[in-house]
Amino acid sequence: MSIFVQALIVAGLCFILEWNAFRKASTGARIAISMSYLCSVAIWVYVFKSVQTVHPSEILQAALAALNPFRSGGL
Amino acid sequence: MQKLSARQLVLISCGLTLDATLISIPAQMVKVAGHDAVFCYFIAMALIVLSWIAIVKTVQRFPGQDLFSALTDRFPFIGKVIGLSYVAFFFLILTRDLRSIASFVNYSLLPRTPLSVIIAVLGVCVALTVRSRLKGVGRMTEIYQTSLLIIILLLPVLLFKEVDYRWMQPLFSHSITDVLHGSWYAVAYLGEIVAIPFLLSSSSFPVRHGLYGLLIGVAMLEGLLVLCIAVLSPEITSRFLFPNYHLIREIRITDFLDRFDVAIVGVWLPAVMVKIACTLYFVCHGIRRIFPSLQFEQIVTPVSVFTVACSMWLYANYNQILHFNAHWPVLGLLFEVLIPIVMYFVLRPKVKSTALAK
Repeated sequence: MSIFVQALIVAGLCFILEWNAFRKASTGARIAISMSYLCSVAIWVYVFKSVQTVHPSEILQAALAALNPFRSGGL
Repeated sequence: MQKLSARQLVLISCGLTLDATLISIPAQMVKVAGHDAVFCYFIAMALIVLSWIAIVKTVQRFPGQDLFSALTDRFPFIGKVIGLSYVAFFFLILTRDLRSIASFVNYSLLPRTPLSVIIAVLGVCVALTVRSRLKGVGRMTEIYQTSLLIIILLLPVLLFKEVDYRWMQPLFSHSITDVLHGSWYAVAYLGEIVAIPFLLSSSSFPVRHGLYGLLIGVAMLEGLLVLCIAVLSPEITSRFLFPNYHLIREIRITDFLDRFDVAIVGVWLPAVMVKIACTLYFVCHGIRRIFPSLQFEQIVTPVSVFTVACSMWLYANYNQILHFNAHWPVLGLLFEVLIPIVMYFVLRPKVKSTALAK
C-alpha cells in the first residue's frame, strides 16, 4: 500500500469519525479543520516519500544556538 | 470553567514536571556536571518557583478567568499574539514528547514495529483522553501518577543492594559553571508547570498546590538521579539514552520478577501519556480561546492528527531531540520565566469608569 493511501486512510477515518462535529461547525471552522487534515496528509507523504535533508527543528536549533550561553561547553 | 480537586491539581503539576523530564535529561545533566548534577535540579527549581509565583499572582488579578482570557480581554491584539505564541510553544513540546515516548518504545520495547505506527497509536490514545476534557485527564492522573510516585518511592528499597555511594564522592568536585550547565538542561522541562494558569481560572487553585506538585516532582527526579549515579556510576549514566530505564533493569528480586522493568514501564507509559494529553489539552484550549468560533470537540482530532504528522516531520531521530535539548532552554526561559515575570508587572485589569469617577 502506498504512503499516500496510508495517510488518506488515517486522516479519512478520523474525518469520518468526526463527521458529526464537522457538520455542526461554522464555515470558517470547516475550512480550518479541512486544512488541518490536508496538511497532515501532505506532511505524512512528504516525510515518507522524500529524502528529508534538513528538519525544521534543526533550523530552530541553529537559531537558538546563537543565544545559548553554554553553546561552547561553558559560559 | 473546568475545576479540579486539590489532589488532582497537585498530581497534574507533578506530572508536568516529572514525567517527560526523567526520560533523558538526567544523562545530559550528568554528562556536564558529573555526580555534582545532584544540585542542578535545585537551582532550576528556584527559578521556576519565582516564575510560578509571578504567573499565579498575575492570574489572580482576573477572578474567574484563565490567563488566555485575561490576556485577550486586556490586550485584544497583543494578547492573542502572545496566546498564539504559547500555543505554538506547547505544540513543540507536544511533538517533542510524543516523538520521545515513541522512540523509547521503539528502541526499548518494540524494535520491529514501525515508528509511524507507534506514534499513531499513541496519538489516538492521547486524543481519546483529551476528549474527556480536563476532568478525565485529572481522574487518569490520580490513578497513574499516584502509582508512578509509589514505584519511585519503592526504588531505593528495591535497589538497596546495588547502591554504591562512593560514586557520589567527592562532592563539589565540578565547577559552578558545570553545575549551572546541568541546571540549564533541567530548567525548561521543570518550567512546563506554567501551563496550569492558562487552563484553569485563578479561583480554582492557590499558589501552594502548584508548588507542592513542583516540589514532589523535583524530589522524585532528585531521588532517581541519585540512584542512577549511585547504582550505574556517573560515567555509565551519561552514556545511556534512557538512564532511568537501565536503572530499573538493575532490579533483581527473584527469577520470577526478572522483567520487573516491564511492569514499571507499564505504569510510567500511561502516566507520561496523561502528561502529553495535558499538553494537547493546552493547545486545543488555547486555539479555542483565541478563535472562539471553534468548538473544543471539533478541534481535538484534527490537532491530534496534525501533531502525529509533525512529530515525524520536525525531528530526524531521537539523537536530534537530545541535541535540541541543549538549546531548548533559550525558548523555555523566554516562555516559562521571562514572559510570566513581564506579565506580572504589565497585566492588570482595566480600571473601571466608576472607579475613575471617584
